[in-house]
Amino acid sequence: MIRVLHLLFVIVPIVTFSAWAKEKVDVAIIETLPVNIVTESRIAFEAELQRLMPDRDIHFRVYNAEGSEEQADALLSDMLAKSTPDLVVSLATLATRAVLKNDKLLPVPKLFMVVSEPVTEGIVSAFGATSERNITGESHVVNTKVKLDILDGVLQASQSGKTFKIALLHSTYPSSFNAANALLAQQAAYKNIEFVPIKTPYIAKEAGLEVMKEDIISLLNSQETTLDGYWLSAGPLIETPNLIADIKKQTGLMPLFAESVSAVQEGALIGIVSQPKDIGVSAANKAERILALGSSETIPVEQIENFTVAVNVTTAIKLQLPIPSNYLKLSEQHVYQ
Amino acid sequence: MRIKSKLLAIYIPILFVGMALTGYWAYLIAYESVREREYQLLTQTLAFNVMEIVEDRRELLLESGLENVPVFRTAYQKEVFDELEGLYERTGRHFLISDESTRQTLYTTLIQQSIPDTSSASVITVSDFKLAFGESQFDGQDILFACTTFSPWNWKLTVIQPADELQTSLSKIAWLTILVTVFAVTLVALLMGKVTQFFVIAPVEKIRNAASRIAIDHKQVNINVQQDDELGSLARDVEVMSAEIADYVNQAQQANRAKTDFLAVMSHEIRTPLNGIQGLATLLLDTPLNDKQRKYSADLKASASILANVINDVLDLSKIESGMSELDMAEFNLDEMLSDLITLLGTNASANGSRLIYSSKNLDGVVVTSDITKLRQIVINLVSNAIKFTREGTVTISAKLQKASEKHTQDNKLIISVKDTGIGIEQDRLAHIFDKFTQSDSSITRQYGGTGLGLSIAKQLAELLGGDIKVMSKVGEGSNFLVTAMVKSRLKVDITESGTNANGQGATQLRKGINVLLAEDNAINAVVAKALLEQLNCNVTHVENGLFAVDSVEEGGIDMVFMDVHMPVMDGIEATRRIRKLSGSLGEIPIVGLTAEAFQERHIAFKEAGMNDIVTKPITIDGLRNSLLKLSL
Repeated sequence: MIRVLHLLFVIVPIVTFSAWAKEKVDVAIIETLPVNIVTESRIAFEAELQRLMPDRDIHFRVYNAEGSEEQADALLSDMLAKSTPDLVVSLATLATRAVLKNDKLLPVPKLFMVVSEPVTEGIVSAFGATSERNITGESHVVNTKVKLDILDGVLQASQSGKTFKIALLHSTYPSSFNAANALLAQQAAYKNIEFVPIKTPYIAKEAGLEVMKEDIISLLNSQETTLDGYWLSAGPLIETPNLIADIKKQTGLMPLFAESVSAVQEGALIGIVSQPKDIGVSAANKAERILALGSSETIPVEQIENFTVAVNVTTAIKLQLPIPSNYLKLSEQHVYQ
Repeated sequence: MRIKSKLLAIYIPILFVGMALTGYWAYLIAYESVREREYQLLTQTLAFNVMEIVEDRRELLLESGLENVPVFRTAYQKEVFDELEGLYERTGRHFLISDESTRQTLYTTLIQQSIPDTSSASVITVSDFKLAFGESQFDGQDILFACTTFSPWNWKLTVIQPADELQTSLSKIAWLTILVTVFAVTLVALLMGKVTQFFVIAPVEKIRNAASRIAIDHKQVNINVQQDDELGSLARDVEVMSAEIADYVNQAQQANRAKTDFLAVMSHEIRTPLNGIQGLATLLLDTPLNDKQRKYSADLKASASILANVINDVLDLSKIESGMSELDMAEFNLDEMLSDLITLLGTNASANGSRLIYSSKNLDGVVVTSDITKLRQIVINLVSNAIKFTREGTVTISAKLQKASEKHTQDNKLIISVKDTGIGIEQDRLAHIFDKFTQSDSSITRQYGGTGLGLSIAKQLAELLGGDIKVMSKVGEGSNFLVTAMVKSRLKVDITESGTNANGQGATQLRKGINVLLAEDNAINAVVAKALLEQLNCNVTHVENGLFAVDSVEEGGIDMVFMDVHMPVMDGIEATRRIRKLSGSLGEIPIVGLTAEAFQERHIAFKEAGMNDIVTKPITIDGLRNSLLKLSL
């Protein structure tokens, strides 16, 4: 008994000292809006970074901009007033814009996540280039052409020979608006696709999502053209609860393409997206390099390499649109009924 | 054909047959391999490409629970068709999918929609697929096919490949095989030629050359063949053989020299006493004798003469057979020579009650080049024979040159016919008439005498002169001997420039009182020679050896010397040499050798010692006279 007490007396102080001896890392995370893709990506990022850097005592400070760039800017000012973090991580486009504009953050290495169009946002001139604003990161979306190729392939397999009229649902939220414009710009190359743009103004905060949904449904119902389905682009709109079910209920339309796995689960024919976990893991690897270098300036901005293809066979059967076997094979664990 | 050519003529066909068989065998192996490979490719294409395409879709449909959804099933079957279209474009192989039950074509890359007959196919299992493969006819073309069934979709899948490609590959292999075979035959033939040349032909050539050298030189040879094989052994054997041949030849030459020496000695030893007998008989006949004594003396002289002839014949034959008889070619008037001979032999013919008739053609005004002595001997032998066997008949001698002579010397053929009306020769003996010691009948020897060597000598002499002797005869009617000899002839420009005719008999008379020194050790021969010389009006001084002869010449008053060769104290050759060393006119005094040695090469040796002429024993008055005339004394 005396020996055990003696042992505890020796070991406990050593362990305690070791914990105290870990170098502290202060990581500030600012989210545009805590929608699923944002929240899940952040959680995956935090877990992976801690796994990669077990000898560091990483402290995460998370700020929610509630879908507002101004809110994000204010949060950053408060954050800097308290202390300057070792790394600032921005999630989604608006928060990233605020981080990019803040000159006081210039010496602080920065990392962005869940930004679909970093080139359009002016972070870098092209993929593969580095930013002068001491920021790096990855676009989480697939190249527009790839997305159009996939949908065209599916429509082609139907052998119907007709051009599908597809409503292009998007908001004025930057990533959504940019993505829609890119799709519209390239649609001429695809004979099976004809987009009908359905745009709703972006309204910040969670309450805005419902307003945008109602506006979209209203716009769809007011369309004179007979639509064969719709395209659900990236952005806060896609995260609106019961969006697909409500549209189907009120318009009878099914989504043919969605940039969200959950949307496919809910009934979208096919979707090709990066999973939040993949986004978070990839960002954590970049963060480790940034912390090691103490700067983001030399790390180029890239596109994420891991994507997930998801299909919904029930929708396919319903629409009599067979999913080509190669897409079905790619879907693996994401074939939904 | 040379041995190398023969060997190659044998090797190349054998090689070609061997290589052709090997090439054909290789072609068959390659043929089977190519067919096997084509079938393997077809079955593998079917199992690993086509069936994988189909199975993948089927499994995907099953996994996704869409197998029974027609739109998906149809779409995925369409995908299969599309992929097969791409596979056809990449591989050139045709694909055909038909409904197994209805045999209806569902998809094909062929123009024809019909289904090839695959009933004669072989069956194998590849990667758990049971496949059938084989050859068939389709749309008038040979095809290779592989097929299998896919029961979930009730499909029969067939991969088809035209056999043209296979035929092209096989044609290439066939041509390649032929080219390689021809190349290999050429290369191997060249190599074998080189090897044969090195290991067989070259040593054989060396051995052959060595054998030729042995045949010509009869000397020991060394052959540079170092091989340790049969040819090497042969070379060593030839070397040993050459040594033995050289030894035997040496021994034979020694034996021949011994024989020649023996003949020379015997000739000398026999002729010397015979000379005395003949000379004394001649002298005896010049003395007063009664009839009986004269007859005995004449018989004695005749017997000695016969014996001398026999000895001459034997010596002549010996010389001819030993190859020591050499041709002494000189230009002479053949017509005159024959006329003189006829005159000389006419006496014998008259004694036999016969007459000699001589005629010639193309000989008038012509000189010929030949060995006059041998030609004369041939004619004398034949005419003497004819006279001997012709009693109270005619012996006709006809001589002609085959073609007319011209101013310049040209080759010609001399033909002399000696025809008699004598007893003739039986046909069965004609073949042996020229054999040595042969006469047509043994009784002839008893009746007519002779050694039986005359015709044999005449024939061999004729052959020496490049001709021959033929005979035609009929018993009771006579014989005709036809002599041929190769001569040179030309038209005579000046008959005689020296004033001496062909037989050496001078037209001028010997002057009287020639002071002759006779050196002769044999007393009888000395008596005979002295007597004969005195008959020629010579003043003879006799000495018994060469030394006395030299002394006598040195003392002076000698016009010429008759010098016996074999003498005691100093022989005639040494004495001649010493005389030739004397100063002034004494050293130039004519010397005539007297010798019983009949061989020409000995006579040449005597002349080389300084003698001007040679008189062969037994000495006759004619021989002495001719010699004196030759020396213009």
